[in-house]
Amino acid sequence: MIEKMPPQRQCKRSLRSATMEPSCIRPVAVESDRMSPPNGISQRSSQVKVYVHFDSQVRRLAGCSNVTLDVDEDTPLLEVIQRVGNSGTGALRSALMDEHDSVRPSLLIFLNNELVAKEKPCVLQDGAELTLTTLISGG
Amino acid sequence: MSDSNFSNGMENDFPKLDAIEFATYEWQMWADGIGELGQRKLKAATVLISRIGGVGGTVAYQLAAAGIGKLILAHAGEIKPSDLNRQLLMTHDRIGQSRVETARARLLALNPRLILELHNENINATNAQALIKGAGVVVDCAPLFEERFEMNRAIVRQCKPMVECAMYEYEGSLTTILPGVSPCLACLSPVAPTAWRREFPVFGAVAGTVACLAAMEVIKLITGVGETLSGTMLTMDLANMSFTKRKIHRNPNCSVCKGSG
Ligand SMILES: [Zn+2]
Repeated sequence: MIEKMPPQRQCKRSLRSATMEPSCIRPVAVESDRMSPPNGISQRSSQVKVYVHFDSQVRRLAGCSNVTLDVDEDTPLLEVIQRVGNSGTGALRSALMDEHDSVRPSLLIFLNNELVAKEKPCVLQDGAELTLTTLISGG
Repeated sequence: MSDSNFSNGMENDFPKLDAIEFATYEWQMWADGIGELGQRKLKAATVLISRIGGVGGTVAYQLAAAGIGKLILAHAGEIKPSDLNRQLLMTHDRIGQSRVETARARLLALNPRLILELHNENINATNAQALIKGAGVVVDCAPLFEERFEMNRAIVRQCKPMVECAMYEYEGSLTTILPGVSPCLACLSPVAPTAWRREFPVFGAVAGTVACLAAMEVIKLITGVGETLSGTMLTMDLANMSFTKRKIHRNPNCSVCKGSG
């Protein structure tokens, strides 16, 4: 499930929240929707907690600073991002993904404060901190 | 290119300081790693700043104060009232007049020895290479991604270091691009974000904070002091005073810097 982070993990942004859209992330199931293993034995991988932070314009489009997700431990990073996008407003989805459901080349993805190459497969460990943002250009 | 390569040089390569310069810069020459030689390196340096608005204007002012020898400033147009909440080189009495000419008066009042080369134009595909040719370090403060990408292509081609700095609302970001060593702008994002708009929420104090940090990157590049943000993106959110350093990497398939270095 996607849930908003508990108060102690959320940024205190009272100034900003007054001018922003209400939180637009709605809960979605992120549990495994994969096919059963070939031998038919029901196997469910364990869940990990992923903290997703939004920065700059992505935060504005998300309507909140961060969300927490419980996902299968082997869920690919890009799938997590797609699910975040699909759970938000059209504007957030459009900032994260293009019309073919691919992650936009302008999206910056940081995993534990290190830039992730979009084409590199990557899985998330429990407690992973994911930051989704874009370059800014104000001068 | 590396940080230390840029600041290397024989002592005789750097111009001597006169008595007024010794008196003006005495206190900063006490800073660890600067001394007289560091100050002479600053005097020998030429820095190009793309746009002298909220960020670039304060970068220019700080570098003029620090005793940089020459600034090349590129910014088209005349002062508008909406510039004046952040563009500290501009003044109310000169609304409607040239930005770069106003900057000239303000910068020379602070540092009359400063050599200025002013261009009443913004960076574009036609002028980028020529403007950068005359500079040792570039500072990118343009509000349009098209200008930033143009500048990025030009510095990679000429292998010039560039301090890449920007702000949005309460946030700022900063990195230093050493072509062939650290990621260029296109490594991070080959295209502009879809949501970016020309007009953006801005406080002068946020722009100025980013600008002062950018000026320090320039000073470090020139003098060889400390560590720059090459390979690191510093982001800050002044709404909650959080500062974060994040590792960034070159894209081996980058359309701009692939094969350099
Ligand atoms: Zn590159």
